[in-house]
Amino acid sequence: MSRPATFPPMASFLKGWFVVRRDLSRGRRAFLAALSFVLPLALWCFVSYVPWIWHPDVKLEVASTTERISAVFTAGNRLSKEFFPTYVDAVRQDNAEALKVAQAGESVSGAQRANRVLLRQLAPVAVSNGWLAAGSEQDDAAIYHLWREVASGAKTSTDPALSQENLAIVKANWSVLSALSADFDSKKLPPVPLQKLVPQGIPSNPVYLPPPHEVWAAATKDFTAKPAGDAPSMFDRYRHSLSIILLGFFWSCVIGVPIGVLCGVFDVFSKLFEPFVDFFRYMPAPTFSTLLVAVLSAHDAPKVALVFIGTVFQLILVVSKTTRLLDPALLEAAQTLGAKPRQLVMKVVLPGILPNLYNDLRILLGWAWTWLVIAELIGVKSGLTGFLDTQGTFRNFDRVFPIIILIGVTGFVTDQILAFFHGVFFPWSGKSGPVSRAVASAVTWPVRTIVAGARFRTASKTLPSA
Amino acid sequence: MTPMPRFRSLLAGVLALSGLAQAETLKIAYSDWPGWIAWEIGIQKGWFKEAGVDVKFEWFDYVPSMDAYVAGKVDAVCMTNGDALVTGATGKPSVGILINDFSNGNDMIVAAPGVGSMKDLKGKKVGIEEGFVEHLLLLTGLEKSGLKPEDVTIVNTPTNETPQVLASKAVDAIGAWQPNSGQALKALPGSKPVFTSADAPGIIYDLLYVSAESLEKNKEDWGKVVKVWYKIAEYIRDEDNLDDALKILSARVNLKPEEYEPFFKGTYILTLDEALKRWEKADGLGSVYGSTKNVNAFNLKYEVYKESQDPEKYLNPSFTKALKK
Amino acid sequence: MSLLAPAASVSARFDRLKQRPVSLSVRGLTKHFESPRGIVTALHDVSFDVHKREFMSVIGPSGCGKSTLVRILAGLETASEGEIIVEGVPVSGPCPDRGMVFQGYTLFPWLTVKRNVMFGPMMAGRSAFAAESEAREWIELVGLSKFENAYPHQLSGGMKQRVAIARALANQPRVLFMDEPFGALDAQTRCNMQSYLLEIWKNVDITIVFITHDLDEAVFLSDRILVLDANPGRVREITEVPVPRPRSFDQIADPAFLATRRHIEHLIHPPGAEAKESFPVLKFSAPDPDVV
Repeated sequence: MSRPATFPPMASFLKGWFVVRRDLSRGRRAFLAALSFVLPLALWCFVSYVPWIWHPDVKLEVASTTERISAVFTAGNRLSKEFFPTYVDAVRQDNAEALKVAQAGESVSGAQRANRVLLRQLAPVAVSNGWLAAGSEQDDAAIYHLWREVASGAKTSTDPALSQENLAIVKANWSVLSALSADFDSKKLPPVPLQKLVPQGIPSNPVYLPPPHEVWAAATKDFTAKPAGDAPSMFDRYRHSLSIILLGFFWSCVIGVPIGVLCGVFDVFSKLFEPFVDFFRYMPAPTFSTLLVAVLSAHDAPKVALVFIGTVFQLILVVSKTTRLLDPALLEAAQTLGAKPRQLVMKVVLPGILPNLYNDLRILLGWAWTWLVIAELIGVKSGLTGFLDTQGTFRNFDRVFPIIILIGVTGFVTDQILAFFHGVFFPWSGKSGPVSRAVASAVTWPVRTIVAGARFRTASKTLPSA
Repeated sequence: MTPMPRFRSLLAGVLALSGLAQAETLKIAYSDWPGWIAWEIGIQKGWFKEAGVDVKFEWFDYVPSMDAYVAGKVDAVCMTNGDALVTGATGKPSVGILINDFSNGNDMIVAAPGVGSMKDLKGKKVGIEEGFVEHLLLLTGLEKSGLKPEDVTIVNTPTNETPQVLASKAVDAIGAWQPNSGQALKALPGSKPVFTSADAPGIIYDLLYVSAESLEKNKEDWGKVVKVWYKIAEYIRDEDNLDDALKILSARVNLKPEEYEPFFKGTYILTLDEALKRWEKADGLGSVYGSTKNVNAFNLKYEVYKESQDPEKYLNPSFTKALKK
Repeated sequence: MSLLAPAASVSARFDRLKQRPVSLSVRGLTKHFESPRGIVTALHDVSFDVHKREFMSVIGPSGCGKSTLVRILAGLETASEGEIIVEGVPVSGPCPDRGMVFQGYTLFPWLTVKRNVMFGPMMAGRSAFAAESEAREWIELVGLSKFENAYPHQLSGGMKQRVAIARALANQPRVLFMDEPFGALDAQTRCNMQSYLLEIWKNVDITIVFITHDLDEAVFLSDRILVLDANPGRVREITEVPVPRPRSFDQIADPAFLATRRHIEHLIHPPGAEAKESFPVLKFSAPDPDVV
């Protein structure tokens, strides 16, 4: 029995990837990094677009209101597959009754207003077919003409395709409407109820897992839309959220770094501050929210304060630890060179801990980001979280996903950029790659040139003239 | 001539000037009840500036809006008459100067499929915001179906989270007002309201409550605010304005106009004449005084607070009466 | 106490040395510290003098407290008892008068070579310009002018140590302490550095106290060797090295060199002491006459 010919090459190929404690080649690493993002995306697309997988709900393309069901569904809403037939039946029952009333010929009060709203049922269908601009769902005159054109067959709806039942309803309604008026006139609407379009829908995943293209569409719409009145645009919200995080982090640094450094250098401060700080950081920051609103006000101050409280205590402890980790031999060397205590702190401790302090602060900035959503929920909801919260309550998760992804991408990209700049700022830590060294020398080139020139001039002045 | 009279007149002049210079901004907290969302029409159309009054409306969730009032961050808040007693007893009293509406179905107990009526709630869990308006509604509903408060387990839930809580099947019913109750009905298809304020109309009145200090200082301005309200109420009543009104109102709560339209039935916005009738002192739910007395008795019975609150202290009809022509 | 009768020139040199003023005088230095096992005496009643321009080594078995001694002398630790007198003035605590070169170089990694050497003068308040030109001279002395703008991480071990020496000397200390400075270097570099150090010592007005565990190094470099005993650390002997100057590596085979070395070795490792530690007899392979 011989092994299949393909087996050995496969096994040795895989072995090349799975070597214990050895780094892979650059190309392979880049490939895996890309795969790390591509795989979840692919999984998402797979679950969203393959209709046999999951899809327990129905997404409405044509929706009707009926009093038999207390909920009001509109186009784009999702409801479970089990409930959909009940919904359709309710509308059909309404239509049966409407026909009976129409045949009896008596006018019904409020029917004109109800019919006006009923006619707008065609609007979402018209928008997705491109017959109507999004936002003109109340343009009754245009919608009236669309009923005529669908009834006569001049326009055929492809996305969604109207069912035969609905086409018949459109034709029936139009015959009633055209008898009264060829154009839209709010006073010449039928005084008896028209038939409602029967709900139509496609299988879809539940509302909390929208497909990628819907998320993308919602993202482009929300980011390019002009906000109504003085409501903030998405970029305003984004800027607002960023400002809260950065302000909170800034104040944490301004207060936390000096205290942390002092605690790391002088045991007096360490034993005085650290026990209390260590205790305080276990008190969860969100519990302070009502207190902060009462003390500060309902706008940005309590939010910044919450980010501050959530960050500063960790920051102090981390900075003091980093300071203590500074090689004590450096301090001893400085002492033997004549440095006094203040000079020790300013000229040795601070420059010495700077690379590690930078890394610590970079990580703590990521930590501060996690407080964003909680902070923005205090008092008047604002920024990205204000948007997230209302959309989440209204279950518009296709608008929620882009914001979540945006926050994640912002944090991730910021972190990567800051990590890169570590090599630019601190070439002496020996961790700079060629690119960061190039950036550093490019940035400092003007300074170096000027200094070299100044030095040359001073040198030529001190040379004896000969 | 002693220096004192001169000093006194100078002081008086300074005080008078400072009084004149005090064109204070009135800060009003509002939230997502249809009767208060209606303020948005006045805000968007600039009717407050036209009337010459400087107001700033701040949007909150309902309970945080009352917290902001108690903390002194706003001068007035939109509350139900029952919740005004609760905030007054536990935090800060207020004076109701304007009845926006009474609840006529938009406050509801929404039950999951399988629970057919209030009676079926026996032994089940209900998610409501404890101590406030939906709690009152639930207790009223239980009383009317012959159940006792101990027959249900209450799970304290902020009203704007009730749709998710109902959909997650953590509770068997929730109490909320529109638009939250509508979201709950959509979130769990097959759910339906088993008890609404339409079953006990007049149990909930919705008013604008102002702090006594602000009312004292800015009587004229508050009168102008009340006047703008009745302009809004008239605007909504006119069918020609309906679509425009719906656009503004539904945008405030991120709904589509056709979703918002049914709310007009469940929140009965009173015209000036209808409101004046409700301001007459009488027992019974047809009068805001009677309704408030009823709620006070309720709150004492179910130990929401210990000291009885006097409805007269919380209500001031003079502003509405001043508009009577 | 010298072992062989020294050559006339050597004893004359030692006479002149003893007449020079005393740069560093240590009197009755004692150091106790607490440990879980009770009070441990690291140093007991250490006394010695170092004359101006002298090169003295300190050597001893492991645990004899030589590092502790030099750290106390540099002021980085405090003595329990005793006095340290530098040019007639009692001192305690670190001071630029007593420079130190560490085994681990401890250059400031964020400063270039030039700025490292400028550090001492700048701390003392000199202007940047003056400090810079001084630093240049010292860097030239140690032969690293080409690298004055390099960072420490770009230098080799030997170069780093030269920078450390330049940095310590830039302060113009009265005494320079060196705590096993060449211990981290490879053998070849170590030899080079030893010659180099003697060159520097020749050209700079400095007194050097040099800690080492390497006998050859101690004999090669120094005028006198302070031999310490362990448990507790105390002075065993101050040996005069009879090898004539200038020193070179050819002298390693000289009888004077060898005799001194053997003498110190006996002081540190008395013969017969090996009997304390005995290894078991291992039997894993058949006896092989070539591998004995």
